[in-house]
Amino acid sequence: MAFVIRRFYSSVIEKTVMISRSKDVFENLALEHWYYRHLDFTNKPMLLLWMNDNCVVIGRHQNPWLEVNFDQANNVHVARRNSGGGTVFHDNGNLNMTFFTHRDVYNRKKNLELIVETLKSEWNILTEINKREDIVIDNNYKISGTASKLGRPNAYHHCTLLVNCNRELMSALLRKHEKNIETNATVSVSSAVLNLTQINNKVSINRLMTAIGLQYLKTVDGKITKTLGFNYVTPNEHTFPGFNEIKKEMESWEWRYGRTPKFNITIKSNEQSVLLSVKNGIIENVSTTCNVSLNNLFSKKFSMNIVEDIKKCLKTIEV
Amino acid sequence: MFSSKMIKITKLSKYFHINSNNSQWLSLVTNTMRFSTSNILKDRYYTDKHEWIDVKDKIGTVGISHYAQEALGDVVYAELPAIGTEVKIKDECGALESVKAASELYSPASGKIVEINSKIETSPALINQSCYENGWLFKLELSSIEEVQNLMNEEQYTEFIKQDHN
Repeated sequence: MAFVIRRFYSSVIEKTVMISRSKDVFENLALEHWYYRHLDFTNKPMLLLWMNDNCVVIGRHQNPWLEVNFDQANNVHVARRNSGGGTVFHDNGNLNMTFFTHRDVYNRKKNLELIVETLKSEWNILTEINKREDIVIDNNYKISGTASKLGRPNAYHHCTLLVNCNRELMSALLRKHEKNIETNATVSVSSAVLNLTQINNKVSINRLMTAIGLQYLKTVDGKITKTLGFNYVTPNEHTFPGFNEIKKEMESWEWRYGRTPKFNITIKSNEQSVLLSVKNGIIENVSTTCNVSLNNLFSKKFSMNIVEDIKKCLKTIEV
Repeated sequence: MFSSKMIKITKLSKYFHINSNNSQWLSLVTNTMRFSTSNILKDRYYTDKHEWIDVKDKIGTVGISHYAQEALGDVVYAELPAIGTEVKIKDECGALESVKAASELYSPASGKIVEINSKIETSPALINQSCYENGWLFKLELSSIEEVQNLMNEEQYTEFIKQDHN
């Protein structure tokens, strides 16, 4: 009997599309994490669509000081996500999609193919999935970046899709400069990017959400599929008990900066140099070629302000 | 694990024709159990999440299986638990990153983290190259040997992979 029941249940797949009303990156990352933690996606896959106001999102094992040009980051939140991979920029011209599944049916390629198919059928935009599992146009220009988190029983794959993003701001924030940081952290791979509206100006975030959502719901995986349609959600403590705590963690210094893999940074100025060793975002060791006391830096939280202060200090030394 | 031990004992009792009321029988039972326990712990044990654990003197060495490392692809970063952390069985205790995916690590047993493999911090590729030897992840001072005895042995794990993923 147990066997019969199991067979019956496993033959019905329930699919849902959720759209977040929030534009706050910490709220959306917390919502995504809440779903991952609290739901069981066995036979109930779910697609979450979300957008954020200006922000930079780094991968779980990345170094924000290496990835982000903080001098450009006024009024731009820097967030750390739970998945692997590199740094991305989000604004209202970028659509984020999270494909939740049971770990055993996690399939990044299939999700990306769904997006490629939709772009082709709706707007005749031809795109490809490259080796890094990003979606590109003309073999070169990236329009979508991918990352994932694999656990038990759940897994998710999420990706960005550039519709009409502020490419100048993105570039100013993420352009690579030599920062003299030595680390084993995951390092981003820079790519040339393109907005979908540059290819076809009829594409909009709203039309994309509808088209991708419908395509997702109607895709049948050889089993009976029941759709629960589109649903708007407002991430809050009332609907998602425990939400505030996850959001608080996402916003915390400890998660965003303290989780940075340990690194060394060399600060050079005036032919002198200072080497800082940073673990969990805290300065653990200081060594310098010059005769200046930097003992006050021990156990301090590392920041770009400290780097600037050291540079100023080095400049005052007579060589 | 418990039932297989019972089978062994029953088989032995048949073999030796011993009466269960006999004190000799009791001592045989304890000896058999001792024997089978030490025997069990010589082997590597596996979880259904594809971690392995190898126990010597209450210290369990933990890694991921060949099957798991192959499924992950090239590991580029290993996030390991801090030494001194108390973990419970099945707790998340770190993550491995490969091809832009962060895969959670789950502790195969409860205990305290006493050592981490610092070599894989600089060369995470060791997890792919040598998942059972140089690519181990961390060592755990076990709070309960029984937890390990309940995991799958080599043979059961091989069968599990066949059934689950073919």
